[in-house]
Amino acid sequence: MRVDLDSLASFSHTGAEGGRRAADALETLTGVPAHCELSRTTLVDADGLAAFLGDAATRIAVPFDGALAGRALVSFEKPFAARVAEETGMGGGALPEVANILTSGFVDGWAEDADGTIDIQPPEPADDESLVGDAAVADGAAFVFESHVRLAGVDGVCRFAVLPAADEFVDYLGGDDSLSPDALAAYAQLTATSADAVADHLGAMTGIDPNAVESHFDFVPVEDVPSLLDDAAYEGAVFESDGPVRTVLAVLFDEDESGAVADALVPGSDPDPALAESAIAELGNVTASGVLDGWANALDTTIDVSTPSHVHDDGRAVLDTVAAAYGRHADTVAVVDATVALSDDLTCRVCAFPSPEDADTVAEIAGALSAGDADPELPPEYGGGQP
Amino acid sequence: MSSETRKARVSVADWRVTDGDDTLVTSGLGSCVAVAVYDEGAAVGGLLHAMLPAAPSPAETPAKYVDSGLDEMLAAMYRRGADPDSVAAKLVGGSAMLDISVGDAIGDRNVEAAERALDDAGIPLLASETGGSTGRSVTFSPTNGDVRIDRVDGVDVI
Repeated sequence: MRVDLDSLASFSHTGAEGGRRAADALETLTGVPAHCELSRTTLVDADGLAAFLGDAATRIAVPFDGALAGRALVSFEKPFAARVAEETGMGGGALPEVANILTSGFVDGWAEDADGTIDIQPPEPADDESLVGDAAVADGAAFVFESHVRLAGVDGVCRFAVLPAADEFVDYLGGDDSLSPDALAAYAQLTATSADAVADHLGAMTGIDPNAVESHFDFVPVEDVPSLLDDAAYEGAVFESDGPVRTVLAVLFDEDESGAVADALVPGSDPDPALAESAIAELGNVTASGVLDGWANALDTTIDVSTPSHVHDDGRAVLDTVAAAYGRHADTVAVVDATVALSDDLTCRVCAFPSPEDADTVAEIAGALSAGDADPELPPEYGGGQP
Repeated sequence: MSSETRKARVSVADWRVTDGDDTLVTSGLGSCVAVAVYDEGAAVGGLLHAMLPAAPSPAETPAKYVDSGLDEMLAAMYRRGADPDSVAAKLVGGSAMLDISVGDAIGDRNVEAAERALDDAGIPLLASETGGSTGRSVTFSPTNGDVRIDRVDGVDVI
């Protein structure tokens, strides 16, 4: 059982094209230039699906069936919703119409590829409880095409996600064993295992029991990689691994409050900048090693981690550099994406970008972890936790 | 790729041309470069956010590369009325934020490619802020050529 990443990448292209068409449709409706800033094809654990899809209060579902069946789920950040209401002159009634237009734009591309028609049904509310339903494609993981659409000059985004219905999607994939539900589930397992390693190691190092852990496995067009983060300041460290899987791994803390990272590491003190930088690099190093040790164990080998590059910068600029580094080798990159909330003020985001040239080895790791061949292990010195 | 609003965003591997009072904005420049080109008299300007120095042939996404992206953007500007003999350029980005072996020195190579492509096109480079180790965001006003550069440690206008 091995996922063919090239096959998955081709789905990613279709999803990205759908996102662009959805943005074009919105631009036509509103007269405001719209663009799709992020498109990704994602495997999301069903438990984390509600959080992944954004604010339930503004979420609208648009069911569709035909050559591909499922639901589109659209949620709006407030400034975006307000501008759409203003531009269309339709008030709050504009949002279901926008959801409909976006879905129509998206599925047009799929209908062309599938050589069939896809019918859209009227928009309906979508609460958290109804989300998973029949969308979980692979052993508790949902397959999601997600796009973030922006209007020029408007703060906030519209999050547009398409969840194919499980049975119909498996039929759509046909006899392609390389994209079997079991194979996709292996990638979800790889991601969940990596996220658990992040949470365990951060918890052991800081003594903080993480509030929440979210993770997903993304396929992202290389030019969209920077949009995985927002343009707020992040502090953290970026590593490179060598060995069977060359990986760039970013461990970044989103500081709602300046100094929160250092304060979590050295509570009650006011460390000088050099000490804080060193502590953050060490925390990043342990976290990165924790993730990569899990991968190495699956292969019964070792993976070496480089000296960290300390960063304190715009998150998009950090990932811009990663995107450019891989841009020569691939149009689409895979990302193991984990978010661990250590407190209300402190969130750690870990993005691991395996080299596209080592895709087969990543598949091997995913398969081994899924089969339970290698359980992640905490280093003994961190295994006992701290008060 | 035109805009009818006052502030139009330029994505990674993208360019946008405007012929009004709009500003063009691109954020999160690490090793990528932003090339701002404008004809002040014609009030036509364009902003390119390119990831890589040189395009393969053929290039599926020309805006991803400095050379093909600049060619494509200049053609659009000239169609909008910019005069090839009156355009000038400013250049931002190409930092080296990360010590990673993959894509080594890509920032420097992007800057060199942009300088070379502008020189080949006969476009004077009036100002630049490149290299270093910080990220940058750019706000470009084509009507006066001002390029505002926002970094985590400060702001400059070139």
